[in-house]
Amino acid sequence: MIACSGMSDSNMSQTPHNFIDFHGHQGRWDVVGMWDEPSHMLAAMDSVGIERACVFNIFHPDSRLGHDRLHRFIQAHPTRFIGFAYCTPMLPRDRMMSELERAIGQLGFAAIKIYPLYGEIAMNDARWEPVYQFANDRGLAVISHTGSQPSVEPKLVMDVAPRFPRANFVVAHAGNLPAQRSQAITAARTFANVYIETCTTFRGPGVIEQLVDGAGADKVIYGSDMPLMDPRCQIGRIITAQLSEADKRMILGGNARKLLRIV
Amino acid sequence: MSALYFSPSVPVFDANIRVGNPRDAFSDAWSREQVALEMQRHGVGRAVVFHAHAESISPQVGQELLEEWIAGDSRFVGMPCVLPTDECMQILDNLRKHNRLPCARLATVLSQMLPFTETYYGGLLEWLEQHGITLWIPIHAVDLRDVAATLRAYPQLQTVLTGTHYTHHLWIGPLMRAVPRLHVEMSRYEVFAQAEALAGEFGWERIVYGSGYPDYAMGPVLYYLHHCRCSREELALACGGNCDRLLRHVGF
Repeated sequence: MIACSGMSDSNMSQTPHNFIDFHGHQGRWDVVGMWDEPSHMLAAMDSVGIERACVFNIFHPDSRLGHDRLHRFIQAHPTRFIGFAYCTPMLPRDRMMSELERAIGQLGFAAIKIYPLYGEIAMNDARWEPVYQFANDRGLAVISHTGSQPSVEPKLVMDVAPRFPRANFVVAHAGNLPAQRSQAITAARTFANVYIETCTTFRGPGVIEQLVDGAGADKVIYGSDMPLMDPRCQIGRIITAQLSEADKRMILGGNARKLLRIV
Repeated sequence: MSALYFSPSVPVFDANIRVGNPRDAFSDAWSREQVALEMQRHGVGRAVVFHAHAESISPQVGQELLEEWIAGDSRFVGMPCVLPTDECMQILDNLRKHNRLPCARLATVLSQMLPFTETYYGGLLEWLEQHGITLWIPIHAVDLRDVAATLRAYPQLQTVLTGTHYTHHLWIGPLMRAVPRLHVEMSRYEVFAQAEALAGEFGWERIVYGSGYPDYAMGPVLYYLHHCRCSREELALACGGNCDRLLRHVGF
């Protein structure tokens, strides 16, 4: 439990919170100001009651290099960060799968991140199927970047979700744009194993409410894209949305706990 | 109050709200009543507003529409959009003479972007500097490569850069360093920990809360600023004091 330290905020109670941020990165992307300095990340998390942040390293296509760096990062703060494996079919299948097995089985990562834009390997391309099968066999979550590009449109998840019913698919960024957001909502409403993650720079009014109205609060998961974007701004979208307290609690941690099997 | 709900703890002056219907979209949410309701819900007391029509079609007609939209409601400060034309200069001068010119905003130049250079904007910038009128510069209206070089020639001109995004991250620090009277409006600038980083180097006096409504929700950036490492006085500057000061520059 993290007590909000809400720096300048006289509104914040000191009630402990255990929010979970489902979408974060490890690694640097200097041209856009992304810097995974743990002390800054933890300070921002503490200020708004984020107990744990899920992070992944998507900058190394061999996966292994990124996993090793991510593992070291998490080992420094094992109670605050949760690692997700990253894999890509740009690697030969056997290497992709053996590294995925190492990441989950040995390094203790809790879910899988995919980024189909790299290599333009669409989310429903057969080359991803071993990954989905792996997740299905173990009941893991797979979070995929989504947006308006053809390889990552949320509608593609509808091709795979019913074929791997024990895997849970998380549509990152909720599709970003309105047309793709509608696809994400349809997918989450249609399939029990499809969820929507919230982070985006397209922070239009009413978007969070739209996701909840369309897919249900039990299908919406808070994520920030930290440290690309600031988790304080992204969590502000949930806190300032017109939702019940119960709905907010599901979005801010309850649903993530269920997917990650955190007690 | 539960931490699952939020209301601001300092007076809030939103520096960036677009009102009225653009030519290619319609929503009742852009009416004065609905915008005021949204402001009330988020604890926003006042707002600088510009009209969609003035921004992208006609500053002159848009100014008429803006005044009709505001209809004397003191919660709203009308911001005319301007092009560097004689007609726009006459509109500005007329507003100024009647003490109704709190600030101005560059209109968007469609199709071929007009270079933000002395050749095209010199007369307008000189006039604004001379009369102490703050200029809002939407990032989509200019080529960022022109901004520092052009504004350096008008050292007393106060400016507010709106719409910056994480893709502009490498531009912002050098721009603020090069142009000491340039302020950054925060509606899209949510680069991790950068509010504190910019304030640390340049002071909270140069950070301006704006929502970018109706494209962006009013609450998230306000919530973000309330959770930054700053004093209550600094928070008050960012959330409203700076905007107020930039308008009051000419006695508003």
